[in-house]
Amino acid sequence: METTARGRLNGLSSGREQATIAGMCGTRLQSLAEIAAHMRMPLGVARVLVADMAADGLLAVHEPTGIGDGGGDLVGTELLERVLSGLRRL
Amino acid sequence: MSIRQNNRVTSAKIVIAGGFGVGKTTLVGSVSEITPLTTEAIMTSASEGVDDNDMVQDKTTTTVAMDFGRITIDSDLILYLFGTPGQTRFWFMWDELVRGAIGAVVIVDTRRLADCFAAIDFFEHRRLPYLIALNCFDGKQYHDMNDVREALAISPNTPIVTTDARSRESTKQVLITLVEYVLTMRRAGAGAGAPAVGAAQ
Ligand SMILES: Nc1nc2c(ncn2[C@@H]2O[C@H](COP(=O)(O)OP(=O)(O)OP(=O)(O)O)[C@@H](O)[C@H]2O)c(=O)[nH]1
Ligand SMILES: [Mg+2]
Repeated sequence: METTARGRLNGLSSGREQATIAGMCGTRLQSLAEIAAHMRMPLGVARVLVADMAADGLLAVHEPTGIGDGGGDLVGTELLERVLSGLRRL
Repeated sequence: MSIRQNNRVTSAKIVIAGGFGVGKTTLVGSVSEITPLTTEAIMTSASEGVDDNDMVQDKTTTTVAMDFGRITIDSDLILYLFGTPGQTRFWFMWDELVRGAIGAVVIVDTRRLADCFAAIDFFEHRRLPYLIALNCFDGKQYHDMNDVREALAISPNTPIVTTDARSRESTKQVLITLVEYVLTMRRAGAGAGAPAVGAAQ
């Protein structure tokens, strides 16, 4: 997820946790797990905060592109191929 | 300050599972570019961060123990590794994480085969492709591969590989094998939807 322009403006006036999350997601894309870990809060709590912020339009949440969830067949295969060649390059 | 306009950063995830002490944290750590973040440790200090927040106060008992690693594949593609908690009673949290995952690595300590049954059942149920990684502690293989396959009652297609979770190269190979397997399944594929890995309908 990442911070929206509104989120960046509102960051200072919202709650402390929300401001931290907005700051974290402002510089680069973050996963829920990373947010939870950095804020030292349970994943479930981070999820609630993030969901609230997304509802307020402060955060843009990007669903992981994966397979096996009815996602587009082509996208899934292309993603797999990219992951595979990326792993081989490691 | 850069304002990101690019919405095209994609993430993929692979789940690392297995019984207690089989090397999940070790495996995630051997390839991750960040030290595995173990939320188990975070739980103990969770109250510090949220003590003044009514909304979340009663939620600090939510316990999720997992390992979390990251591999930047490309500037716009990140692979996340999630190590499942050892205790299966926490796995209700995992339905969400398994959703959209590429597949799973089930680490098996050949001296304690039965410890991985819960993980295998879990992935079979959710039809998530997985492979078996035999973690040969002390470099000894205690079972023949075919015996393992039979003992675990897994499909003949499910890959079984040996690994040393401490080795980056070995872990890399495990992940490559998994993704290759998933790709093969898809190419052989029965149309859309999850590959039916030994799915008994
Ligand atoms: N010899 C050997 N030791 C290993 C290997 N993988 C892990 N270990 C060791 O086994 C112990 C357990 O590894 P962990 O990675 O903590 O296992 P885990 O699955 O995360 O354990 P829990 O989270 O407690 O269930 C550690 O002391 C590791 O150093 C391996 O491939 N070979
Ligand atoms: Mg561990």
